[in-house]
Amino acid sequence: MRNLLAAEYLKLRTTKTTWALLAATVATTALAVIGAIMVASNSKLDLESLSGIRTVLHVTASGGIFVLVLGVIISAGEYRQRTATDTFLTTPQRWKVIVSKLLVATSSGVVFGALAAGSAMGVANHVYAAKGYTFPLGSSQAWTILGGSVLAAALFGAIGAATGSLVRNQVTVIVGWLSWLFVIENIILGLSSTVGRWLPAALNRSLVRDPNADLLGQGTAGFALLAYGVVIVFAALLNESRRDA
Amino acid sequence: MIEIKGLTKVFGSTRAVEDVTFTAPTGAVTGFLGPNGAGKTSTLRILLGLSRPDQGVAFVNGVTYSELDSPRRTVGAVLDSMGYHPGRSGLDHLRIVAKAAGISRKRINEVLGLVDLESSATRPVGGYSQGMRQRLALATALLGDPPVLVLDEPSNGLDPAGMAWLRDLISEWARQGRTVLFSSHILNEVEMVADHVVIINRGKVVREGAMSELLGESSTGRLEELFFEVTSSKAQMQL
Repeated sequence: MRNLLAAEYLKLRTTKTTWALLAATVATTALAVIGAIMVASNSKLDLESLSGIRTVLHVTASGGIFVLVLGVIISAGEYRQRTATDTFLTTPQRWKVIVSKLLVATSSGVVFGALAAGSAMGVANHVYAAKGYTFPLGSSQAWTILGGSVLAAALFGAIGAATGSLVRNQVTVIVGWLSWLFVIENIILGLSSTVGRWLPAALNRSLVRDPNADLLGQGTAGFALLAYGVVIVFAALLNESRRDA
Repeated sequence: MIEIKGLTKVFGSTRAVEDVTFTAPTGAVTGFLGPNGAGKTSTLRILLGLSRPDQGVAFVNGVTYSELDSPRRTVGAVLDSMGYHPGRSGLDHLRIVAKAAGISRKRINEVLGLVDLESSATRPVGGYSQGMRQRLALATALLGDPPVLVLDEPSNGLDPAGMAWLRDLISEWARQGRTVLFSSHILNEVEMVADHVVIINRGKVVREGAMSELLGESSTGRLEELFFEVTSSKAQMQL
């Protein structure tokens, strides 16, 4: 399993897509934080207050979609590039391949999330200073939100890899997730917030304590998102045991 | 040794492989022949654990592929379904397989030399010719220095010099006491290197035996003649 994990990490490091997605995650987060500070500032919100911190930092999860895409590529990309045959010839126990991809996607999500959180802190600190404020680096609220954003990125990476293993068609999975997260979920949330707040995009926002919606607590949201990942992984493992490579 | 016993695989209403049984002996080259769609690739994919049979079993050295302790060190395979990430270099592709299989970096350099890809190893595979991709596939198959080689149309895309090199490699491999099972449409090539022949048509084995015996059955003493005789629709009607 150690060799397999090392090989999966090497696959990630040797494609430009990984680095492009990392750059997109960090850049999107930094731009989102700048935008959030501008909006909060224009609406006369006290940037140093708890409400101000939540308004500015909840956008740290904006790059989560890129982590989800990375997870999908880690799994389904093997079928798109037809490298799955070589992978299964080296490791015929397919469950090991699925689990290793899940671990690699989750840990990559942690790295992506941590770098995005770091860039959010750096940018916020800089823009606050430029506006004559002091960013509250010691605020537990800030660290809770940033920790939630890292957890969200890890779980989105895991869900992406699990879905990629289940469906195998990279384009279908990515288009499906984009449609779900940005269109279908918003419709459901509009129809019923009771149901809608249990859905993945809303759970992602709960993890970063989005102040603009009536969402779940961080712990509940984390477990719910984890449950999505577990269910999809089991479906992928079950499906894989029945089909050809 | 490779043993295929009573293999049957059905895709929807098509019986791709039906009760296929044959052996590829150790220390010999076995040519696996058949027209397009005869069931060669389906048989090889089942042998390599990539596809599940509806009936029957396929063994490599007495166990199924998924039961092998070190698959890459036991079986080297080239299949048409193999692909490469176009942005990844040939060297990185080999590094990934070697890392997963616990094979040393030194062996990567050896196989690159063996297939004459050293100078192109760091270039992205997307820029490789068909022949270079096939050489990379062969390098990947040889990485684990395996005692068994399973090659599906290994000469696809190779130039005449490459094909001659491949014939020598296959013969040398068998002389060293290894098992080689390979499929090809180029019957002259098979005639030159194979000791044993299995001909499959419409999912069923229609002839199996030592090359010398089978050539004796043909009116012209040529494999091509025998192949057309046993795979013609007239021969099928008689089955």
